[in-house]
Amino acid sequence: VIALASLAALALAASTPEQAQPGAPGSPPVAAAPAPADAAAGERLAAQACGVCHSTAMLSQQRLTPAQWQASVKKMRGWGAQLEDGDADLLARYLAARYPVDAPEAPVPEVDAAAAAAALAPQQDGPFARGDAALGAREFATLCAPCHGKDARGSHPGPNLVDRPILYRAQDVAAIVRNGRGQMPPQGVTDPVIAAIIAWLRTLERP
Amino acid sequence: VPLVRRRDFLGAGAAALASSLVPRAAFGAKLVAHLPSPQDLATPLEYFDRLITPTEVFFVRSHFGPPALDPSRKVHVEGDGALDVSVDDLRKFKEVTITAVLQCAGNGRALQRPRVPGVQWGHGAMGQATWTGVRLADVLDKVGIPPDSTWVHTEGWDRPPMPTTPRFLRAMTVARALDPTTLIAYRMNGQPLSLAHGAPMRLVVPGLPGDEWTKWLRTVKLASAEPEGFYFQTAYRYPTHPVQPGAAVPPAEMKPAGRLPVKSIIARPADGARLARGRNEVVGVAFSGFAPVDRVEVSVDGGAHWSRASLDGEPGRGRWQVFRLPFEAPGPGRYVAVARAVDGRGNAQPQTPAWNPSGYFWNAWHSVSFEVAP
Repeated sequence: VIALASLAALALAASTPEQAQPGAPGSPPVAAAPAPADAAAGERLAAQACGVCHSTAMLSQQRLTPAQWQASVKKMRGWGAQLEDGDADLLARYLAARYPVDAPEAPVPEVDAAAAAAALAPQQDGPFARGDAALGAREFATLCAPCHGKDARGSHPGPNLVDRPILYRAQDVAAIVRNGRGQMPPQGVTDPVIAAIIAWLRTLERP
Repeated sequence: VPLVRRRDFLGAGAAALASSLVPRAAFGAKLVAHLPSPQDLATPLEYFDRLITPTEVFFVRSHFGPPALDPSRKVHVEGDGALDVSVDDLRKFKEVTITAVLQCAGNGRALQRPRVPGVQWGHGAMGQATWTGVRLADVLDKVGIPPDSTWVHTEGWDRPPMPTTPRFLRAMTVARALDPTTLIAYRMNGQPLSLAHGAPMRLVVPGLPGDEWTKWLRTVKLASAEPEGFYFQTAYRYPTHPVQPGAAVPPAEMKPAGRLPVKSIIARPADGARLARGRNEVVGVAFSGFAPVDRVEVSVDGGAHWSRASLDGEPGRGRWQVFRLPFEAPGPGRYVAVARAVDGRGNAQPQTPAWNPSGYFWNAWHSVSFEVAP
Protein backbone atom coordinates (compact mmCIF):
# COMPACT_ATOMS: atom_id res chain seq x y z
CA VAL A 1 0.00 0.00 0.00
CA ILE A 2 1.32 3.38 -0.90
CA ALA A 3 0.07 6.71 0.23
CA LEU A 4 -0.40 9.63 -2.10
CA ALA A 5 1.61 12.73 -1.58
CA SER A 6 -0.50 15.54 -2.92
CA LEU A 7 -2.84 16.76 -5.55
CA ALA A 8 0.06 17.40 -7.90
CA ALA A 9 -1.56 14.74 -10.01
CA LEU A 10 -4.00 17.25 -11.38
CA ALA A 11 -1.27 19.35 -12.94
CA LEU A 12 0.32 16.29 -14.48
CA ALA A 13 -2.90 15.14 -16.01
CA ALA A 14 -2.57 17.70 -18.75
CA SER A 15 0.62 16.09 -19.99
CA THR A 16 -0.54 12.50 -20.01
CA PRO A 17 0.06 10.77 -23.32
CA GLU A 18 -3.56 10.39 -24.32
CA GLN A 19 -4.17 14.08 -24.31
CA ALA A 20 -1.95 14.81 -27.25
CA GLN A 21 -3.03 17.74 -29.35
CA PRO A 22 -5.33 17.00 -32.26
CA GLY A 23 -4.29 18.00 -35.74
CA ALA A 24 -1.18 17.15 -37.66
CA PRO A 25 1.94 19.25 -37.57
CA GLY A 26 2.02 20.96 -40.93
CA SER A 27 -1.34 19.55 -41.88
CA PRO A 28 -2.92 21.16 -44.92
CA PRO A 29 -5.43 23.91 -44.33
CA VAL A 30 -8.99 22.78 -43.75
CA ALA A 31 -10.92 22.69 -47.01
CA ALA A 32 -13.28 25.51 -47.64
CA ALA A 33 -16.77 24.41 -46.68
CA PRO A 34 -18.67 23.40 -49.79
CA ALA A 35 -21.69 25.38 -50.85
CA PRO A 36 -25.00 23.96 -49.56
CA ALA A 37 -25.79 22.44 -52.95
CA ASP A 38 -22.40 20.73 -52.99
CA ALA A 39 -22.96 19.52 -49.42
CA ALA A 40 -26.23 17.93 -50.44
CA ALA A 41 -24.56 16.38 -53.50
CA GLY A 42 -21.67 15.18 -51.34
CA GLU A 43 -24.00 13.52 -48.89
CA ARG A 44 -25.80 11.80 -51.74
CA LEU A 45 -22.49 10.59 -53.23
CA ALA A 46 -21.39 9.29 -49.82
CA ALA A 47 -24.60 7.29 -49.54
CA GLN A 48 -24.27 5.94 -53.09
CA ALA A 49 -20.55 5.28 -53.31
CA CYS A 50 -19.56 4.51 -49.70
CA GLY A 51 -22.84 3.11 -48.44
CA VAL A 52 -22.62 -0.02 -50.59
CA CYS A 53 -19.99 -1.44 -48.23
CA HIS A 54 -19.70 0.92 -45.25
CA SER A 55 -21.98 1.94 -42.40
CA THR A 56 -22.22 5.69 -41.92
CA ALA A 57 -20.23 5.18 -38.71
CA MET A 58 -17.18 4.28 -40.80
CA LEU A 59 -17.20 7.83 -42.14
CA SER A 60 -18.29 9.70 -39.01
CA GLN A 61 -15.57 8.19 -36.81
CA GLN A 62 -12.82 9.51 -39.11
CA ARG A 63 -11.31 12.94 -38.60
CA LEU A 64 -8.92 13.46 -41.46
CA THR A 65 -7.16 16.10 -43.51
CA PRO A 66 -8.34 16.94 -47.04
CA ALA A 67 -5.32 15.08 -48.40
CA GLN A 68 -6.21 11.97 -46.37
CA TRP A 69 -9.82 12.10 -47.56
CA GLN A 70 -8.67 12.42 -51.17
CA ALA A 71 -6.37 9.44 -50.73
CA SER A 72 -9.16 7.40 -49.14
CA VAL A 73 -11.58 8.17 -51.96
CA LYS A 74 -8.90 7.30 -54.52
CA LYS A 75 -8.20 3.98 -52.79
CA MET A 76 -11.89 3.11 -52.66
CA ARG A 77 -12.37 3.93 -56.35
CA GLY A 78 -9.63 1.43 -57.03
CA TRP A 79 -11.57 -1.11 -54.99
CA GLY A 80 -14.80 -0.57 -56.87
CA ALA A 81 -16.52 2.58 -55.59
CA GLN A 82 -18.44 3.98 -58.58
CA LEU A 83 -17.55 7.65 -58.97
CA GLU A 84 -16.90 9.90 -61.94
CA ASP A 85 -13.77 12.08 -61.65
CA GLY A 86 -15.67 15.23 -60.77
CA ASP A 87 -17.85 13.39 -58.28
CA ALA A 88 -14.82 11.85 -56.57
CA ASP A 89 -13.38 15.30 -56.05
CA LEU A 90 -16.67 16.64 -54.77
CA LEU A 91 -17.06 13.68 -52.41
CA ALA A 92 -13.54 14.13 -50.99
CA ARG A 93 -14.19 17.83 -50.39
CA TYR A 94 -17.52 17.06 -48.75
CA LEU A 95 -15.95 14.47 -46.44
CA ALA A 96 -13.08 16.80 -45.54
CA ALA A 97 -15.53 19.53 -44.60
CA ARG A 98 -17.89 17.21 -42.76
CA TYR A 99 -15.29 15.10 -40.91
CA PRO A 100 -12.20 17.30 -40.54
CA VAL A 101 -9.30 16.74 -38.12
CA ASP A 102 -10.81 19.15 -35.61
CA ALA A 103 -14.33 17.72 -35.68
CA PRO A 104 -15.76 16.79 -32.30
CA GLU A 105 -15.33 13.14 -31.40
CA ALA A 106 -18.22 11.06 -32.70
CA PRO A 107 -19.97 9.19 -29.87
CA VAL A 108 -19.51 5.41 -30.04
CA PRO A 109 -22.74 3.60 -29.15
CA GLU A 110 -22.96 0.53 -26.98
CA VAL A 111 -24.64 -2.60 -28.23
CA ASP A 112 -26.11 -5.43 -26.22
CA ALA A 113 -23.68 -8.34 -26.49
CA ALA A 114 -26.45 -10.92 -26.83
CA ALA A 115 -28.13 -8.87 -29.57
CA ALA A 116 -24.84 -8.58 -31.47
CA ALA A 117 -24.40 -12.36 -31.42
CA ALA A 118 -28.05 -12.90 -32.36
CA ALA A 119 -27.65 -10.63 -35.40
CA LEU A 120 -25.44 -13.29 -37.02
CA ALA A 121 -27.31 -16.39 -35.87
CA PRO A 122 -29.40 -18.47 -38.28
CA GLN A 123 -33.20 -18.07 -38.02
CA GLN A 124 -35.98 -20.55 -38.69
CA ASP A 125 -36.98 -20.37 -42.36
CA GLY A 126 -40.66 -20.35 -41.45
CA PRO A 127 -42.76 -19.39 -44.52
CA PHE A 128 -39.56 -19.19 -46.60
CA ALA A 129 -38.63 -22.88 -46.27
CA ARG A 130 -38.33 -25.23 -49.26
CA GLY A 131 -38.18 -22.57 -51.97
CA ASP A 132 -38.06 -23.52 -55.65
CA ALA A 133 -34.42 -22.86 -56.61
CA ALA A 134 -35.14 -22.95 -60.37
CA LEU A 135 -37.81 -20.29 -59.94
CA GLY A 136 -35.38 -18.40 -57.70
CA ALA A 137 -32.75 -18.30 -60.46
CA ARG A 138 -35.26 -16.72 -62.86
CA GLU A 139 -36.62 -14.24 -60.34
CA PHE A 140 -33.12 -13.25 -59.25
CA ALA A 141 -32.10 -12.57 -62.86
CA THR A 142 -34.80 -9.94 -63.31
CA LEU A 143 -35.28 -8.63 -59.79
CA CYS A 144 -31.82 -8.67 -58.16
CA ALA A 145 -29.11 -9.22 -60.80
CA PRO A 146 -29.13 -5.65 -62.14
CA CYS A 147 -27.56 -4.50 -58.85
CA HIS A 148 -26.04 -7.61 -57.24
CA GLY A 149 -24.63 -9.10 -60.46
CA LYS A 150 -25.92 -12.11 -62.38
CA ASP A 151 -23.86 -14.48 -60.27
CA ALA A 152 -24.85 -12.62 -57.05
CA ARG A 153 -21.20 -11.97 -56.24
CA GLY A 154 -21.59 -8.22 -55.97
CA SER A 155 -21.83 -5.41 -58.48
CA HIS A 156 -23.18 -1.87 -58.34
CA PRO A 157 -24.72 -0.96 -56.05
CA GLY A 158 -25.50 -4.39 -54.63
CA PRO A 159 -22.94 -6.32 -52.53
CA ASN A 160 -22.07 -10.02 -52.70
CA LEU A 161 -24.85 -12.30 -51.49
CA VAL A 162 -23.12 -15.68 -51.79
CA ASP A 163 -22.22 -17.60 -48.61
CA ARG A 164 -23.45 -14.82 -46.35
CA PRO A 165 -25.06 -15.32 -42.90
CA ILE A 166 -28.17 -13.49 -44.07
CA LEU A 167 -29.04 -16.35 -46.43
CA TYR A 168 -29.97 -18.25 -43.27
CA ARG A 169 -31.94 -15.34 -41.86
CA ALA A 170 -34.92 -15.51 -44.20
CA GLN A 171 -37.09 -13.20 -42.10
CA ASP A 172 -34.42 -10.50 -42.39
CA VAL A 173 -34.13 -11.05 -46.15
CA ALA A 174 -37.88 -10.62 -46.51
CA ALA A 175 -37.84 -7.42 -44.45
CA ILE A 176 -35.03 -5.92 -46.52
CA VAL A 177 -36.62 -6.93 -49.84
CA ARG A 178 -40.00 -5.48 -48.86
CA ASN A 179 -38.85 -2.37 -46.98
CA GLY A 180 -35.74 -1.60 -48.99
CA ARG A 181 -32.42 -0.62 -47.44
CA GLY A 182 -29.91 2.03 -48.41
CA GLN A 183 -30.18 2.36 -52.16
CA MET A 184 -32.29 -0.75 -52.49
CA PRO A 185 -35.90 0.16 -53.27
CA PRO A 186 -38.76 -1.80 -51.67
CA GLN A 187 -39.93 -4.72 -53.80
CA GLY A 188 -43.45 -6.10 -53.66
CA VAL A 189 -42.81 -9.85 -53.84
CA THR A 190 -44.60 -12.87 -52.46
CA ASP A 191 -43.32 -15.30 -49.83
CA PRO A 192 -42.75 -18.08 -52.42
CA VAL A 193 -40.62 -15.76 -54.57
CA ILE A 194 -38.48 -14.74 -51.61
CA ALA A 195 -38.19 -18.40 -50.59
CA ALA A 196 -37.21 -19.30 -54.16
CA ILE A 197 -34.50 -16.64 -54.38
CA ILE A 198 -33.08 -17.70 -51.02
CA ALA A 199 -33.13 -21.35 -52.13
CA TRP A 200 -31.22 -20.50 -55.31
CA LEU A 201 -28.65 -18.32 -53.53
CA ARG A 202 -27.95 -21.20 -51.15
CA THR A 203 -27.05 -23.47 -54.07
CA LEU A 204 -24.31 -21.19 -55.38
CA GLU A 205 -20.77 -22.36 -55.11
CA ARG A 206 -18.76 -20.49 -52.52
CA PRO A 207 -16.58 -17.85 -54.08
CA VAL B 1 7.90 -20.76 -19.11
CA PRO B 2 5.95 -22.98 -21.45
CA LEU B 3 3.00 -21.31 -23.10
CA VAL B 4 1.45 -24.61 -24.05
CA ARG B 5 -0.08 -26.26 -21.03
CA ARG B 6 -2.39 -29.08 -21.83
CA ARG B 7 -3.45 -29.45 -18.21
CA ASP B 8 -3.70 -25.74 -17.73
CA PHE B 9 -7.43 -25.26 -17.92
CA LEU B 10 -8.99 -27.88 -20.07
CA GLY B 11 -7.78 -31.44 -19.90
CA ALA B 12 -8.66 -33.88 -22.65
CA GLY B 13 -12.06 -35.35 -21.83
CA ALA B 14 -12.81 -32.65 -19.31
CA ALA B 15 -15.45 -30.95 -21.41
CA ALA B 16 -18.17 -31.37 -18.78
CA LEU B 17 -15.97 -29.77 -16.16
CA ALA B 18 -14.93 -27.10 -18.64
CA SER B 19 -18.46 -26.01 -19.39
CA SER B 20 -18.98 -25.23 -15.71
CA LEU B 21 -15.81 -23.14 -15.81
CA VAL B 22 -16.69 -21.08 -18.88
CA PRO B 23 -16.22 -17.45 -17.87
CA ARG B 24 -19.38 -15.44 -18.33
CA ALA B 25 -20.18 -11.78 -18.57
CA ALA B 26 -23.14 -10.47 -16.60
CA PHE B 27 -26.61 -10.65 -18.17
CA GLY B 28 -27.19 -7.58 -20.32
CA ALA B 29 -23.45 -7.11 -20.98
CA LYS B 30 -22.53 -4.50 -23.59
CA LEU B 31 -19.94 -4.15 -26.32
CA VAL B 32 -18.77 -0.88 -27.86
CA ALA B 33 -20.05 -0.71 -31.44
CA HIS B 34 -17.43 1.02 -33.58
CA LEU B 35 -19.21 -0.40 -36.62
CA PRO B 36 -22.55 -2.21 -36.57
CA SER B 37 -22.04 -4.03 -39.87
CA PRO B 38 -19.74 -5.71 -40.60
CA GLN B 39 -19.37 -5.91 -36.83
CA ASP B 40 -16.40 -4.11 -35.31
CA LEU B 41 -17.15 -4.35 -31.60
CA ALA B 42 -14.84 -3.46 -28.73
CA THR B 43 -14.61 -4.93 -25.25
CA PRO B 44 -15.36 -2.39 -22.49
CA LEU B 45 -12.26 -1.65 -20.39
CA GLU B 46 -13.91 -2.91 -17.21
CA TYR B 47 -13.26 -6.48 -18.40
CA PHE B 48 -9.50 -6.00 -18.45
CA ASP B 49 -9.32 -6.84 -14.75
CA ARG B 50 -9.20 -10.62 -15.24
CA LEU B 51 -7.21 -13.33 -16.94
CA ILE B 52 -9.96 -14.56 -19.28
CA THR B 53 -12.24 -12.26 -21.27
CA PRO B 54 -15.74 -13.76 -21.47
CA THR B 55 -16.57 -14.69 -25.07
CA GLU B 56 -19.82 -12.66 -25.09
CA VAL B 57 -17.86 -9.45 -24.55
CA PHE B 58 -14.74 -10.41 -26.51
CA PHE B 59 -14.00 -7.86 -29.23
CA VAL B 60 -15.10 -8.66 -32.79
CA ARG B 61 -13.31 -7.50 -35.91
CA SER B 62 -13.11 -8.47 -39.57
CA HIS B 63 -12.80 -6.66 -42.86
CA PHE B 64 -15.83 -8.16 -44.59
CA GLY B 65 -17.94 -9.91 -41.97
CA PRO B 66 -18.38 -13.66 -41.62
CA PRO B 67 -19.41 -16.24 -44.19
CA ALA B 68 -22.53 -18.30 -43.46
CA LEU B 69 -22.37 -20.57 -40.43
CA ASP B 70 -21.39 -24.07 -41.53
CA PRO B 71 -19.76 -26.36 -38.95
CA SER B 72 -18.82 -28.85 -41.68
CA ARG B 73 -16.45 -26.52 -43.53
CA LYS B 74 -13.01 -27.94 -44.19
CA VAL B 75 -9.58 -26.39 -44.26
CA HIS B 76 -7.49 -27.15 -47.34
CA VAL B 77 -3.86 -27.68 -46.29
CA GLU B 78 -1.27 -27.86 -49.04
CA GLY B 79 2.41 -28.74 -48.95
CA ASP B 80 4.10 -31.76 -50.56
CA GLY B 81 0.67 -33.33 -50.42
CA ALA B 82 -2.72 -31.92 -49.57
CA LEU B 83 -5.33 -32.54 -46.92
CA ASP B 84 -8.88 -31.28 -46.41
CA VAL B 85 -9.75 -31.36 -42.75
CA SER B 86 -12.95 -30.68 -40.84
CA VAL B 87 -13.11 -30.18 -37.08
CA ASP B 88 -13.88 -33.90 -36.75
CA ASP B 89 -10.85 -34.80 -38.88
CA LEU B 90 -8.63 -32.82 -36.53
CA ARG B 91 -9.41 -35.34 -33.76
CA LYS B 92 -6.64 -37.46 -35.29
CA PHE B 93 -4.14 -34.91 -34.01
CA LYS B 94 -3.13 -34.19 -30.44
CA GLU B 95 -5.41 -31.62 -28.81
CA VAL B 96 -3.79 -28.60 -27.19
CA THR B 97 -5.20 -25.74 -25.13
CA ILE B 98 -3.35 -22.49 -24.63
CA THR B 99 -4.18 -19.15 -23.05
CA ALA B 100 -3.22 -16.19 -25.21
CA VAL B 101 -4.00 -12.56 -26.00
CA LEU B 102 -5.72 -11.67 -29.23
CA GLN B 103 -5.25 -8.03 -30.12
CA CYS B 104 -6.07 -6.13 -33.30
CA ALA B 105 -3.02 -4.41 -34.81
CA GLY B 106 -5.09 -1.20 -34.92
CA ASN B 107 -6.07 -1.23 -31.25
CA GLY B 108 -5.62 2.31 -29.95
CA ARG B 109 -5.60 3.87 -33.41
CA ALA B 110 -7.92 6.67 -32.24
CA LEU B 111 -5.20 7.91 -29.88
CA GLN B 112 -2.51 8.40 -32.50
CA ARG B 113 -1.71 11.94 -33.71
CA PRO B 114 -1.75 12.90 -36.51
CA ARG B 115 -4.82 10.76 -37.02
CA VAL B 116 -4.93 8.09 -39.68
CA PRO B 117 -7.90 6.48 -41.42
CA GLY B 118 -9.32 3.17 -40.22
CA VAL B 119 -11.57 1.90 -37.48
CA GLN B 120 -11.01 4.32 -34.62
CA TRP B 121 -10.43 1.81 -31.85
CA GLY B 122 -9.88 2.99 -28.31
CA HIS B 123 -8.35 0.30 -26.09
CA GLY B 124 -11.03 -2.36 -26.52
CA ALA B 125 -9.79 -4.36 -29.52
CA MET B 126 -8.10 -6.97 -27.35
CA GLY B 127 -8.94 -9.91 -25.14
CA GLN B 128 -7.53 -13.08 -23.70
CA ALA B 129 -9.10 -16.50 -24.06
CA THR B 130 -8.23 -20.15 -23.84
CA TRP B 131 -7.90 -21.57 -27.34
CA THR B 132 -8.27 -25.29 -28.02
CA GLY B 133 -7.25 -27.01 -31.22
CA VAL B 134 -4.29 -28.77 -32.78
CA ARG B 135 -0.81 -27.57 -33.56
CA LEU B 136 -0.49 -26.23 -37.09
CA ALA B 137 2.96 -27.89 -37.10
CA ASP B 138 1.36 -31.33 -36.68
CA VAL B 139 -0.97 -30.75 -39.63
CA LEU B 140 1.79 -29.33 -41.84
CA ASP B 141 3.97 -32.30 -40.95
CA LYS B 142 1.20 -34.59 -42.16
CA VAL B 143 1.07 -32.97 -45.62
CA GLY B 144 4.85 -32.66 -45.82
CA ILE B 145 6.83 -29.44 -45.87
CA PRO B 146 8.67 -28.80 -49.15
CA PRO B 147 12.30 -27.92 -48.36
CA ASP B 148 12.13 -24.58 -50.18
CA SER B 149 9.09 -23.40 -48.18
CA THR B 150 9.55 -20.06 -46.49
CA TRP B 151 5.98 -18.80 -46.08
CA VAL B 152 2.63 -20.19 -45.07
CA HIS B 153 -0.21 -18.43 -46.91
CA THR B 154 -3.59 -18.36 -45.19
CA GLU B 155 -7.07 -17.36 -46.30
CA GLY B 156 -10.50 -17.45 -44.74
CA TRP B 157 -13.91 -18.16 -46.25
CA ASP B 158 -14.94 -14.52 -45.89
CA ARG B 159 -15.30 -12.58 -49.12
CA PRO B 160 -15.36 -8.87 -49.94
CA PRO B 161 -18.65 -7.24 -50.95
CA MET B 162 -17.49 -6.82 -54.55
CA PRO B 163 -15.20 -8.80 -56.85
CA THR B 164 -13.14 -5.65 -57.43
CA THR B 165 -12.26 -5.40 -53.73
CA PRO B 166 -9.17 -7.38 -52.69
CA ARG B 167 -9.66 -10.59 -50.78
CA PHE B 168 -8.37 -10.76 -47.24
CA LEU B 169 -5.28 -12.95 -47.07
CA ARG B 170 -2.27 -13.23 -44.82
CA ALA B 171 0.97 -15.15 -44.45
CA MET B 172 3.43 -16.04 -41.74
CA THR B 173 6.91 -17.49 -41.90
CA VAL B 174 7.27 -21.26 -41.82
CA ALA B 175 9.19 -20.90 -38.56
CA ARG B 176 6.27 -19.09 -36.97
CA ALA B 177 3.79 -21.62 -38.36
CA LEU B 178 5.84 -24.46 -36.82
CA ASP B 179 6.01 -22.76 -33.42
CA PRO B 180 4.28 -25.09 -30.93
CA THR B 181 1.92 -22.28 -29.87
CA THR B 182 0.51 -21.79 -33.38
CA LEU B 183 -2.81 -23.65 -33.55
CA ILE B 184 -5.74 -24.42 -35.76
CA ALA B 185 -8.33 -23.79 -33.05
CA TYR B 186 -11.97 -24.88 -32.85
CA ARG B 187 -12.83 -23.91 -29.28
CA MET B 188 -12.60 -20.62 -27.44
CA ASN B 189 -13.02 -20.49 -23.66
CA GLY B 190 -14.11 -24.13 -23.75
CA GLN B 191 -16.95 -23.71 -26.26
CA PRO B 192 -17.03 -24.28 -30.03
CA LEU B 193 -15.96 -21.11 -31.84
CA SER B 194 -18.86 -18.76 -32.50
CA LEU B 195 -19.38 -17.39 -36.00
CA ALA B 196 -18.12 -13.96 -34.96
CA HIS B 197 -14.90 -15.53 -33.71
CA GLY B 198 -14.19 -17.69 -36.74
CA ALA B 199 -16.33 -20.86 -36.68
CA PRO B 200 -15.62 -23.57 -37.33
CA MET B 201 -11.82 -23.11 -37.31
CA ARG B 202 -9.38 -20.24 -36.98
CA LEU B 203 -5.69 -19.75 -36.52
CA VAL B 204 -4.21 -18.86 -33.14
CA VAL B 205 -0.79 -17.21 -33.36
CA PRO B 206 0.16 -15.97 -29.89
CA GLY B 207 2.31 -12.87 -29.88
CA LEU B 208 1.22 -11.74 -33.34
CA PRO B 209 -1.67 -9.34 -33.97
CA GLY B 210 -5.16 -10.47 -34.91
CA ASP B 211 -4.70 -10.19 -38.67
CA GLU B 212 -2.57 -13.36 -38.52
CA TRP B 213 -5.26 -15.25 -36.58
CA THR B 214 -7.24 -15.99 -39.75
CA LYS B 215 -10.88 -16.65 -38.95
CA TRP B 216 -13.19 -19.00 -40.89
CA LEU B 217 -10.00 -20.72 -42.00
CA ARG B 218 -10.19 -22.03 -45.55
CA THR B 219 -6.68 -22.56 -46.90
CA VAL B 220 -3.19 -23.03 -45.48
CA LYS B 221 -0.53 -23.32 -48.17
CA LEU B 222 3.20 -23.72 -47.90
CA ALA B 223 4.99 -21.50 -50.40
CA SER B 224 8.45 -20.32 -51.33
CA ALA B 225 7.48 -16.65 -51.69
CA GLU B 226 5.33 -14.00 -50.04
CA PRO B 227 1.72 -13.91 -51.24
CA GLU B 228 0.56 -11.19 -53.60
CA GLY B 229 -2.32 -8.98 -52.65
CA PHE B 230 -3.17 -5.77 -50.83
CA TYR B 231 -3.66 -7.39 -47.44
CA PHE B 232 -0.14 -8.73 -47.36
CA GLN B 233 1.88 -6.40 -49.57
CA THR B 234 0.37 -3.11 -48.40
CA ALA B 235 -1.72 -3.57 -45.26
CA TYR B 236 -0.41 -4.61 -41.84
CA ARG B 237 2.97 -3.03 -42.45
CA TYR B 238 5.09 -0.88 -40.22
CA PRO B 239 8.01 1.45 -41.01
CA THR B 240 11.45 -0.18 -41.00
CA HIS B 241 12.82 2.92 -39.22
CA PRO B 242 11.32 5.75 -37.15
CA VAL B 243 9.43 8.25 -39.30
CA GLN B 244 8.23 11.80 -38.83
CA PRO B 245 4.62 11.84 -37.58
CA GLY B 246 2.36 12.31 -40.58
CA ALA B 247 5.05 11.38 -43.10
CA ALA B 248 4.29 9.40 -46.24
CA VAL B 249 6.45 6.28 -46.02
CA PRO B 250 7.58 4.64 -49.29
CA PRO B 251 6.48 0.97 -49.60
CA ALA B 252 10.11 -0.19 -49.70
CA GLU B 253 10.52 1.22 -46.19
CA MET B 254 7.64 -0.81 -44.76
CA LYS B 255 7.81 -4.36 -43.40
CA PRO B 256 5.22 -6.78 -41.98
CA ALA B 257 4.07 -5.39 -38.64
CA GLY B 258 5.39 -8.30 -36.57
CA ARG B 259 4.87 -8.95 -32.90
CA LEU B 260 2.71 -7.14 -30.38
CA PRO B 261 4.83 -4.66 -28.42
CA VAL B 262 4.73 -4.62 -24.62
CA LYS B 263 1.60 -2.98 -23.24
CA SER B 264 -0.43 -2.51 -20.08
CA ILE B 265 -3.95 -1.20 -19.74
CA ILE B 266 -5.75 -0.07 -16.58
CA ALA B 267 -9.24 -1.52 -16.09
CA ARG B 268 -9.93 0.13 -12.74
CA PRO B 269 -10.30 2.84 -11.65
CA ALA B 270 -12.21 3.81 -14.76
CA ASP B 271 -11.26 7.14 -16.25
CA GLY B 272 -13.53 9.70 -14.60
CA ALA B 273 -14.47 7.37 -11.70
CA ARG B 274 -15.33 8.62 -8.25
CA LEU B 275 -13.91 6.40 -5.52
CA ALA B 276 -14.78 6.13 -1.84
CA ARG B 277 -12.02 7.04 0.61
CA GLY B 278 -9.97 4.23 2.03
CA ARG B 279 -8.27 1.29 0.43
CA ASN B 280 -8.51 1.11 -3.39
CA GLU B 281 -6.48 -0.59 -6.10
CA VAL B 282 -5.29 -0.02 -9.63
CA VAL B 283 -5.99 -3.19 -11.66
CA GLY B 284 -5.29 -4.04 -15.27
CA VAL B 285 -3.57 -6.39 -17.69
CA ALA B 286 -0.10 -6.45 -19.24
CA PHE B 287 1.45 -8.48 -22.04
CA SER B 288 4.09 -8.58 -24.75
CA GLY B 289 4.44 -10.51 -27.97
CA PHE B 290 8.18 -10.81 -27.42
CA ALA B 291 8.52 -12.29 -23.93
CA PRO B 292 6.61 -12.78 -20.70
CA VAL B 293 5.96 -9.61 -18.71
CA ASP B 294 8.80 -8.82 -16.34
CA ARG B 295 7.15 -6.07 -14.32
CA VAL B 296 4.41 -3.48 -14.26
CA GLU B 297 4.96 -0.17 -12.51
CA VAL B 298 2.06 1.96 -11.42
CA SER B 299 1.88 5.57 -10.34
CA VAL B 300 -1.10 7.11 -8.61
CA ASP B 301 0.29 10.62 -8.62
CA GLY B 302 0.44 11.21 -12.34
CA GLY B 303 3.93 9.75 -12.80
CA ALA B 304 5.84 11.42 -9.96
CA HIS B 305 6.30 8.19 -7.98
CA TRP B 306 6.11 4.59 -9.22
CA SER B 307 5.49 1.31 -7.40
CA ARG B 308 5.81 -2.23 -8.64
CA ALA B 309 2.44 -3.95 -9.04
CA SER B 310 1.82 -7.60 -8.18
CA LEU B 311 1.18 -9.96 -11.11
CA ASP B 312 -1.41 -12.77 -11.23
CA GLY B 313 -1.59 -15.56 -13.78
CA GLU B 314 0.86 -17.70 -15.69
CA PRO B 315 3.60 -15.70 -17.43
CA GLY B 316 4.04 -16.33 -21.15
CA ARG B 317 4.89 -14.70 -24.44
CA GLY B 318 1.69 -13.32 -25.94
CA ARG B 319 -0.23 -14.00 -22.76
CA TRP B 320 -1.50 -11.39 -20.36
CA GLN B 321 -1.21 -11.25 -16.62
CA VAL B 322 -3.32 -9.19 -14.26
CA PHE B 323 -1.49 -6.50 -12.32
CA ARG B 324 -2.66 -4.94 -9.05
CA LEU B 325 -1.47 -2.07 -6.95
CA PRO B 326 -3.39 -1.35 -3.75
CA PHE B 327 -3.32 2.25 -2.59
CA GLU B 328 -4.95 4.56 -0.13
CA ALA B 329 -5.48 8.18 -1.08
CA PRO B 330 -4.37 10.59 1.66
CA GLY B 331 -7.29 12.89 1.08
CA PRO B 332 -10.12 13.78 -1.23
CA GLY B 333 -9.36 15.20 -4.64
CA ARG B 334 -8.44 14.31 -8.19
CA TYR B 335 -5.70 11.77 -8.98
CA VAL B 336 -4.11 10.29 -12.07
CA ALA B 337 -3.04 6.66 -12.20
CA VAL B 338 -0.49 5.59 -14.83
CA ALA B 339 0.73 2.09 -15.73
CA ARG B 340 3.81 1.01 -17.66
CA ALA B 341 5.13 -2.49 -18.32
CA VAL B 342 8.51 -4.00 -19.16
CA ASP B 343 8.88 -7.44 -20.74
CA GLY B 344 11.46 -10.14 -20.14
CA ARG B 345 13.62 -8.87 -22.99
CA GLY B 346 13.80 -5.42 -21.46
CA ASN B 347 11.33 -3.85 -23.90
CA ALA B 348 9.66 -0.99 -22.04
CA GLN B 349 6.25 0.46 -22.78
CA PRO B 350 6.91 3.97 -24.13
CA GLN B 351 5.42 7.18 -22.79
CA THR B 352 4.71 8.15 -26.40
CA PRO B 353 4.75 5.42 -29.06
CA ALA B 354 6.25 5.88 -32.51
CA TRP B 355 3.79 7.23 -35.05
CA ASN B 356 3.13 4.97 -38.03
CA PRO B 357 0.96 5.41 -41.14
CA SER B 358 -1.66 2.80 -40.25
CA GLY B 359 -1.94 3.54 -36.55
CA TYR B 360 -0.80 0.12 -35.36
CA PHE B 361 0.44 -1.00 -31.97
CA TRP B 362 -0.50 2.00 -29.80
CA ASN B 363 1.06 1.19 -26.44
CA ALA B 364 1.58 4.46 -24.61
CA TRP B 365 1.63 4.44 -20.82
CA HIS B 366 -2.05 4.22 -19.96
CA SER B 367 -3.39 6.83 -17.60
CA VAL B 368 -6.76 7.36 -15.95
CA SER B 369 -8.00 10.32 -14.00
CA PHE B 370 -10.27 9.71 -11.01
CA GLU B 371 -11.63 11.46 -7.97
CA VAL B 372 -11.52 10.38 -4.34
CA ALA B 373 -14.63 11.47 -2.46
CA PRO B 374 -14.38 13.55 0.71
